[in-house]
Amino acid sequence: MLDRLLEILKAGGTHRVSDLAHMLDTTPALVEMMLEDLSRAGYVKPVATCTEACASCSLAHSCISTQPGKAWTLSQ
Amino acid sequence: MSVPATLRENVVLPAVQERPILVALAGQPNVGKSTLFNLLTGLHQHVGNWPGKTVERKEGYFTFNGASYRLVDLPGTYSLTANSPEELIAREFILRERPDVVVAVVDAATLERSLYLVAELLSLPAPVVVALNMMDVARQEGIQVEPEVLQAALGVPVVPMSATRGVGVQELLETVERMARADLPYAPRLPQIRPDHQEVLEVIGEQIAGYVPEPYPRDWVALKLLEGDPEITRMMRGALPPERWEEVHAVLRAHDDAQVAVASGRYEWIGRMVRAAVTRPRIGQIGLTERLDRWATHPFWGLVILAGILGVVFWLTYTMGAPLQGLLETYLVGTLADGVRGLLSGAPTWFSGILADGIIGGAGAVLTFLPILVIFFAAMAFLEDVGYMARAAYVMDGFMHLIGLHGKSFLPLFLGFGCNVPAILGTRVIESRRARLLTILLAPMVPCTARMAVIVFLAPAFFGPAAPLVAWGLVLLSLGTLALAGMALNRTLFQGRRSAFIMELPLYHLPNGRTIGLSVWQRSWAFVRKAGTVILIVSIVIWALSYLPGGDTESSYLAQLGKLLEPVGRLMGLDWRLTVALLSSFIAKENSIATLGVLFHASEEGLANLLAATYPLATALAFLVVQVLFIPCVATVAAIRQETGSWRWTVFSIGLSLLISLLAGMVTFQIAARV
Repeated sequence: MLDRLLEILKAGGTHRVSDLAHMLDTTPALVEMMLEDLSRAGYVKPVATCTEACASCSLAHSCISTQPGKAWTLSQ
Repeated sequence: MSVPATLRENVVLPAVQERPILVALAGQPNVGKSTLFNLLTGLHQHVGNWPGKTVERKEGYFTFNGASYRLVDLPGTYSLTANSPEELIAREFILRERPDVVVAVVDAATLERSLYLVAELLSLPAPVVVALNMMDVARQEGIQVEPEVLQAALGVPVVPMSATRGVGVQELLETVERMARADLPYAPRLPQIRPDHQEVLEVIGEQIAGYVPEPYPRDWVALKLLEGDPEITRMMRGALPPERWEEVHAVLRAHDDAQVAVASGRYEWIGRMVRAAVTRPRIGQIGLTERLDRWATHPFWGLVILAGILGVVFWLTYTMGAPLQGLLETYLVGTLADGVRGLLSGAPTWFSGILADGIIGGAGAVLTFLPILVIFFAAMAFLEDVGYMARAAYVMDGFMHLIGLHGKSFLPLFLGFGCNVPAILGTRVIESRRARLLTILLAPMVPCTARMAVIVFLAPAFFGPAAPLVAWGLVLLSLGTLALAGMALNRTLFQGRRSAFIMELPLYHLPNGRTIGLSVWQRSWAFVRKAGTVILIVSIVIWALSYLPGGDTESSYLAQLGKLLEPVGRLMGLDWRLTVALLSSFIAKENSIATLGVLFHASEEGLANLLAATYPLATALAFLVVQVLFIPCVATVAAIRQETGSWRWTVFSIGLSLLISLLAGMVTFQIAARV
């Protein structure tokens, strides 16, 4: 299942965790686990959320876009 | 917490029995393992450290049905893959001590998370009993887990329980007792790996046969080698003759994707177990989220809804905020400025001028827009808190892909709606230098909070009731420009590289007043602080430049500079005052308003009225268009220089913004003047 997830991600595009769960006929919780696993193995990496990216910004407090949700992107 | 009576009777240390039955408690953190441990051992427990580690070791004794038990609480782990000292301790204990029974405590409410560890435990040489804990929590969350089905699917005993209520503990102990006496069927169904990797596993098993140190089982060691487990790899490298190790190593090198294949088998297995035993009725919050998302994240309707919501936000902001702003302008700025002039009637003209026109007229004018911003911030915080902003991000990402941009460019650009600076810094997630440069060039075209603030200020001043429509159109114009520029640059710089982006959308939920209040407070306070520092200083400087050398605005240094640039401004219908206002926005976007406040002596009659009376609509529209597309503020330019490491690209970015904004301004003015 992990290899199928990796294939889907390598084909590119934007995915919701729930869509991936549907494609793999499983639950979003399992997809999240697999993404964490792929992240540990270096295949995907979590995208810096605003809180991290804004650390050096003087306007951080007035930032409209705080965390839009957990997000990952392919490493290669 | 109630403890079954049978657990408390005969609580004495074992004496008659030669060796107590050894039971290990395994499970991930926060599944109720410690609760169960304390419940069973009571005061008969010992807490220390695992040998040579700083990880806590808990051990205790209890008796049940006349037999003595030694219970060892293994460290909480999610797997047994040697990622951490805890995982190593847990698996080494099972391998070396060979407990009579391993009780795997799993959380019924998040079964997926718990089952990975169970998948690994089943391949170790100790019988496993699954304690299906937190059944009450799962029920409360509407999750139905069927223990009998899970038991049949796993092939090992499953005992439903709720440790915190003491429910199911008796049954668990009976099962452990029977398992220790080998009085229960035990035929675990192990996760399978793909057939091609199964063959490799067998080859490795044959290669290492006869060399595996005690107490490790050969098949398990072969599997761990295939998974690339660093501890087992190190061990076998020492245990095998060098030439045999080379053979094993060659096989492993040829199958470096095996780690994914092994984990993949376990996930398939977990998926099967969950599909068989768990029912999640699609009601309540999840059902509602799915129904709403069918529209909110639809590739087309999602964008329509986003545009609609943005329109409503602007409409609300103006309808509620504009009258409040008017009141503040009349009573606060007007009265304050009159008061200051009255008080300082004997003081030098320049002194009352700097206070009344510079500070109150400039920075004060900016502050009167606070009610409008508070309403705008509250609307955005509301959308964020109910979970909509993540959907907005998601549909915008789909839109980015449509125009040929890539997932990785999207998040930095999305950050740009807050402030362009983190957007530029956020491009660090993009590895490809060309893609990164493209995103850096596009980021300043995203309308940031400060630009939105200027639109929010000026649109009602110029356009009255049509302000929401104009503001909405300006945001669409920015995004349209970004899309066109993206497409144009993408054709030349990006060449069809694909990238994936995965988002986890939160469930919609009722807004929390406190969260929204806090967010509005933080953003508003940041705005007030900025008005009190950067904008205040710029207001004073602008006032000084508009006063010197002779005290007359029309012949001031600022007017001279403005008139020098006026020929360019005139192409867009802008006079020297609007041109200067545009220039001052380079320091901070809000300075446009402060500058106009100073130049129009806004403290006397109110900036909105003066602007509306002075400029025709075509000029006003062209000014707003240029303003929204103009060179980003100095902080953003500094970020561009820092992140590109090149003055050439920084100048290119400034030139691009300048070219686009001036062209758009001219086209707008020429068309609007003829309509």
